[in-house]
Amino acid sequence: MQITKIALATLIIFSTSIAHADVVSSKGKASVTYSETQATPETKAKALQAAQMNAIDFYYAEAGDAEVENLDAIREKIRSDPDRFILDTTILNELDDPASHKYTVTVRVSLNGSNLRIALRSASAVGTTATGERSQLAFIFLSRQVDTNTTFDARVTKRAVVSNQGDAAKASQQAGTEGEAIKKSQVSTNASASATESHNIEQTATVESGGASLVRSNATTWKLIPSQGLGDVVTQIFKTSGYRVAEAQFVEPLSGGKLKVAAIEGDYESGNDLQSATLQNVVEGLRTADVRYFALATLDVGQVGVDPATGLQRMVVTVNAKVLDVGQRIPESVAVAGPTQYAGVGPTEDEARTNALKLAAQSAARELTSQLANAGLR
Amino acid sequence: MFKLLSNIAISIALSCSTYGYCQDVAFAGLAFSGDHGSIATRFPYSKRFESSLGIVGINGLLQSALPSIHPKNYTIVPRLDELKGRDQAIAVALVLTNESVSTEQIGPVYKLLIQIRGQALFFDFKSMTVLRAYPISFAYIDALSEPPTDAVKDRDVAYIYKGTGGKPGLIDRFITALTGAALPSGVSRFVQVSNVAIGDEARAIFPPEYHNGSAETWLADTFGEELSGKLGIPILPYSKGYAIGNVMSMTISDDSVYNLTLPKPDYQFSVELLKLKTVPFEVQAAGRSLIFGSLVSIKLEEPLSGHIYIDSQFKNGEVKIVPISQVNIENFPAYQDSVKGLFSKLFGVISGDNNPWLKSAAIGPNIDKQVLATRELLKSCK
Repeated sequence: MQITKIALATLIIFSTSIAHADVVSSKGKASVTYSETQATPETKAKALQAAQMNAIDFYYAEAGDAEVENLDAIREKIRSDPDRFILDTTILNELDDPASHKYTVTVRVSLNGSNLRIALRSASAVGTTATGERSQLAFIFLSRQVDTNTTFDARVTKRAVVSNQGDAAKASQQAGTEGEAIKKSQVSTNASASATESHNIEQTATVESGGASLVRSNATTWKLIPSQGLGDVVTQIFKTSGYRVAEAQFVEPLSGGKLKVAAIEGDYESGNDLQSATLQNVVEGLRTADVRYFALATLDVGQVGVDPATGLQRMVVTVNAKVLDVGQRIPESVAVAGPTQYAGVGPTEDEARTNALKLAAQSAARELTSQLANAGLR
Repeated sequence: MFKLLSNIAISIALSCSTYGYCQDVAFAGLAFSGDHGSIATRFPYSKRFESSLGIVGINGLLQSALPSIHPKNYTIVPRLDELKGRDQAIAVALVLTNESVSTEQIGPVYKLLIQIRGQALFFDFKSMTVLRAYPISFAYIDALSEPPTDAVKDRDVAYIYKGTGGKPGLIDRFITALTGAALPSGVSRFVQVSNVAIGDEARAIFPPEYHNGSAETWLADTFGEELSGKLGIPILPYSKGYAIGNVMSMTISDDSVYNLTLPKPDYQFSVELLKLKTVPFEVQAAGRSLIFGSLVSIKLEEPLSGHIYIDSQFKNGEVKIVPISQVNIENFPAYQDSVKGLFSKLFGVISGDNNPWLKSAAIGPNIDKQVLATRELLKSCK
């Protein structure tokens, strides 16, 4: 198992270098109609370029709405210098249909993800603003895990009303005759009797039952997980997107004692939202420190499980993130991401958790910066 | 073995030096696919065989055969760490994907069937992406007068790895696959058996050990082996059999776990085994012969444009002679031969063989045109 760890560590080092390379693959298709008898090289070239652009559209469509809107800003730039963004193109299928004067081509392209991102950044509002004029952004990314989870048995109340009703009636009647006849030395007698009796008893019992079952939701407390490395990951993504960025801890001393990281952490240890007083203090503190944007994210780590593909430990992290603009009179959420889940695997629980947290933080920061760029915030 | 040696001799003549530049491919060793924790239960006989080799292991046997490999456009380097620090890091492993051992009593005879499947899998060590795979397998059938002991099974598993009766074993087959394999000079196109189905009538004929998806994996593997063998093209592993969520996990001999991503295929094969049927062919005094027939639907398409290259049903019959003295007839292996024969003949024709079999086997119009389109496409996938 020790060897496994070493191998995976090696993989992580290797994976980092892949992330820098950032080559992504996508497919696209385009049809072009023509007036000639068959597709000319010009028609084919036109269709090929349209298919390449379609492949880029596909790639951004899979990445989400915010990314697609950003793409519109650099579409012309890609058309004018495709080699900078498209590393290679493989024609998967081409069909020339002279009867309908239509040429269709399907391609797979390898895209230079880094160059696309740089182009997006330089086209965004923040990218075109001088560094000194850019707004400051502070952030706090908190990762937490369930510490205790108390479940309550249902409180059951039962009530029953029993009522009995009875009615009995009895009627009886008796009738009889008796006679005697005497003749000389003989006496004869006769007698007859009849009796009638009837009984009638009615009884009714009614039972009424009811009650209530009261179920109380689970009481969950959280514990914060030290996530030193996440700050660096998030800083890198915001910085490469052109923002002036600082961790909340560095803003705290400049906030006139209002922004307290410990207070934010305390709120998230006991619940899902910041308390009103904490939030107001944060806003006031940021205004005092002259920081306009505040990115806040919680990364909730789930239970450890086994990854079905590898048999390694697997952990899922749910991320919720938003950016507040406190420059306005009433603070406003200008970017919101999540809840989204990310999974990480590793030979131990710790490694699986770190991988999942890193992925979740990276993805949330990317989504937030895309939305900020799209909103034209600088 | 002679065939192997002659192949090696030819390959040396056409090896890297002829082509100039050669890419280094690191040998990652023997690997087991799937869940790391259940390897011992899924591959018990291969693990036992490995233990019986002592410190050398299966990996040692493979390593000692490496110097004899002279592929066309790449050079094998024996260790993975030799590629560290380089821009490109392509590795190859013998990935075992399935091991099955079954015993069946037929009259007084016990039939022992051992089958081990694997792939010569090329992958990019840096991006952890599957590049191409060449499927290989070896099935060994033993007829015994008494139930097979563990010692007999171990002996037969050794035959599978080392070869027997003039047939190359898995190790030689892997070496042959590496010798014939080529790395794409440009961007490669990915072919995969993506959809596999088995009709109810045909499924009823499969023995119980092929339930729970094994029948589909067998069909996909058999198809892939014939496709790769006849046309020399690599294919992506059948994802439902070996990967979850397009991630293929494997553990190499030193206990390292690799999670490889399968790229999305550019061209998808859909294969459906529709029917298996036996028809009496001839009866003579010495015995009788039966035709074991199979009916399979095969479709190849490019999924984005929806362009279909081939979409037809094919039928094939393989004759099995049953001597008068044979009381029990075992049908399933004969059906397997029929299906395998169908794929073999079809890919033979697609590779350029002039086999009249096609005319009678294909059910559907324009089969020649479809075969031509498929041939041209698959050529571009080498």
